[in-house]
Amino acid sequence: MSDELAEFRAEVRAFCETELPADIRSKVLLNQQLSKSDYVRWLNLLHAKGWLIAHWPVEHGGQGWSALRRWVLENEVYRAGAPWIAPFGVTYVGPVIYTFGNAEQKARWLGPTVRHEIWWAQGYSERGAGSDLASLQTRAVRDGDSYVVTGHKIWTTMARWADMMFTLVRTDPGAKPQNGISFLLIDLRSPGITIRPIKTIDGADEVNEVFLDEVRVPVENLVGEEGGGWTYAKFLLDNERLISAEVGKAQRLMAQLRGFLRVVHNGGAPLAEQSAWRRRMAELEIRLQSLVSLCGRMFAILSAGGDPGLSASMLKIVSSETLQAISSAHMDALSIGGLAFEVETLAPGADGTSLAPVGAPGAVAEYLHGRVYSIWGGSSEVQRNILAKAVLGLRS
Amino acid sequence: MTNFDADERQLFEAALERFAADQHSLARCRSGDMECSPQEWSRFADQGLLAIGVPPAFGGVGGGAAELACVMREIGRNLLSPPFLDSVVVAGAAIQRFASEAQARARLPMIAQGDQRTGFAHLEPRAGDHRQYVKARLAQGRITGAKSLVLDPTMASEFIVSARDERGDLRLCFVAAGSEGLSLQTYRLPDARLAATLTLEDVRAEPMPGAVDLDRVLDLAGVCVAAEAVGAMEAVNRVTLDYAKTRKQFGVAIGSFQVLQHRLVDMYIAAEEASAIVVDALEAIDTDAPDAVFLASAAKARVDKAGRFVAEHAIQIHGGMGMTDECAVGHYMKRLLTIGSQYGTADWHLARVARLAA
Repeated sequence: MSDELAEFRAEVRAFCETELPADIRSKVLLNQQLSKSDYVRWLNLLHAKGWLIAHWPVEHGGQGWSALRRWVLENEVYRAGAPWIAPFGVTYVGPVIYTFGNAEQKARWLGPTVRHEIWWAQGYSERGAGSDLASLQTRAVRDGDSYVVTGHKIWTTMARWADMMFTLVRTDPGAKPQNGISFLLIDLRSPGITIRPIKTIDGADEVNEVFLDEVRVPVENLVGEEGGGWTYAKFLLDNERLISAEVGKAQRLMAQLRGFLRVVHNGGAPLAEQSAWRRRMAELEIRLQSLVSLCGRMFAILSAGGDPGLSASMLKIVSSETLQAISSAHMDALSIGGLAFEVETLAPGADGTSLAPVGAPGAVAEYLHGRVYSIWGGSSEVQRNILAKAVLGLRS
Repeated sequence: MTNFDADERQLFEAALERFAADQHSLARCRSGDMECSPQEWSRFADQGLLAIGVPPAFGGVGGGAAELACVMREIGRNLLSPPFLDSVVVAGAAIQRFASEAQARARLPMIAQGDQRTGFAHLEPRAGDHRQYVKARLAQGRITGAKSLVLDPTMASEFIVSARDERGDLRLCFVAAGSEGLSLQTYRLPDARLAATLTLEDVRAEPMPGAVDLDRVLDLAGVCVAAEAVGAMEAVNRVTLDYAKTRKQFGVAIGSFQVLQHRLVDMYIAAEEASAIVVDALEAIDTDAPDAVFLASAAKARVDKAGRFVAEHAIQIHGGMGMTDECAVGHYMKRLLTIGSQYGTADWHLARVARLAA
């Protein structure tokens, strides 16, 4: 890492120490659920600092940061216990709009998006279209100045907080699957929309199913060309995979694991003093360093103006498996004293510290939630298929 | 312990499987409240399941580790939550081994009929899963100490509590629920069952006579909970296989992809291996074979690893659906995770096997 970047990293670290609100940080470190206002408060602080959309081009209000600099920022804030920078607005739809949208759309949407006056949801997957996204069935039929949209979307994260949903819809059922898809911006308060929360195995209900029944969407909410949606979606998915190497989060979970090893006792001694656990920690540290080294290689290619090509697929696999390995170690350590999942069933006022290490229930939730890392944004199986075909040249 | 003969065993298993399948309710698992009601418990009693492992002379129907494990396996397969493990398996074995004739007469028939539910309080907060580490003190018929991971604590009318007496010997004692000086802090395990930490401050206790060596009782419990995991693994494999055959992506069933076929085969092998080693461990326990200790630990260590493997891949194969509370696989994952923390983690049993080999 260059001196300049190291300096920047120190600046981010210092910023988090003074500016990251303690209540939000505490929730993140304990893996507790955050409210929309927690997210918005932090995102606005980042924006005020000029960092939230610094990776955007200068003409759209950014500073044209390199992907590496953005990566350093994200790692540092996550390591410090900052909330997830919900990517739907500033990393997904924003860049699609400034890259493929018209002047009117840029003027209308970009400002409120970066200020989080508009919260975005992503309408991609459907029950029948997960890994096979191109088979999506939600229909948009042109009727005068509107599209009439009918269908449904699933795994829509934070949809109940969202004002708008960028949505892949089928506008030409006669075309090849990829060619008949368009990219529509849909107001979630439109008549005909029903949002059903989905309870997940970690006890959260952050994801939703969104039903659309003859929802009228103004034609001016079509981004780019009718039928061009697949291209924009792929552009966006590439952005998604670039940021998927969550090194900062992995570091935070490692720090939490070290804490558990100090307080969980076995036979009267803390696990941290036991050689089997020291060895396990060393193995995880090495895995994490390999991930960091892989990321470094990709950014070196990028900054030399090269195309890292399909490295993002590889990073997604390695990153999700590293996070899952750390979570598995959490479970192995906490299992020793019994896994407490919900200590809030305790009498009011009790903090549960006598029952389980602080953060244990959140760590169980994170292990359960962490299954999704190898599923969402293109499953590990899909990523491996991509690598097998496009990198190794293997054909089935 | 005396096992059922082959015909008895067949009839027993067939009736048990039907009964347990009837009790299965995913809606119940989703409700987050897994406490066994007195009505549910009496259904287990009516079925004669609580009398297993108790000799006929004490009002039971006999049967050994193998029969107890059959019940545990079906509990796992159907995600049921009766306090069978501690109240029947552990309490039954501990009382038969260590209690006085009078203590046994007062309790075993009640257990067999479902009229008494017993909690088992042995592990301690600083012990982790280290089964020899007991600091609770017994003096003049009173116990002071803390006990962690006591399962199904609110259903128990009595606890069996371990403590060291003035000579440092390990003793087991009966402690009535609601005794003065006894407090419970309850919390939920990942599979929504309740557990508690018990704090005992000078609590009146009725000791069983003499020092105890808990190894065999704890090994029986460990293998029984491993049998529960085997049932859960077999169920989750069946659900996942059905899903792979019916879920279509790219125009074909996802089960037609070779990578998933191989993974499903690995999951099948994991469950078969787990089932086989548990059967061998049970037989060793029932025949008091010299390798019973090795097999008990080998089984628990192997089954916990296999359970984690099977559950994680079951969710992966289900994709997003596997992440939802409405899908059964997550509930099986949580049960398997919970089992991994009971009666010795895989790491503890691994270390024990290493000590045996040394």
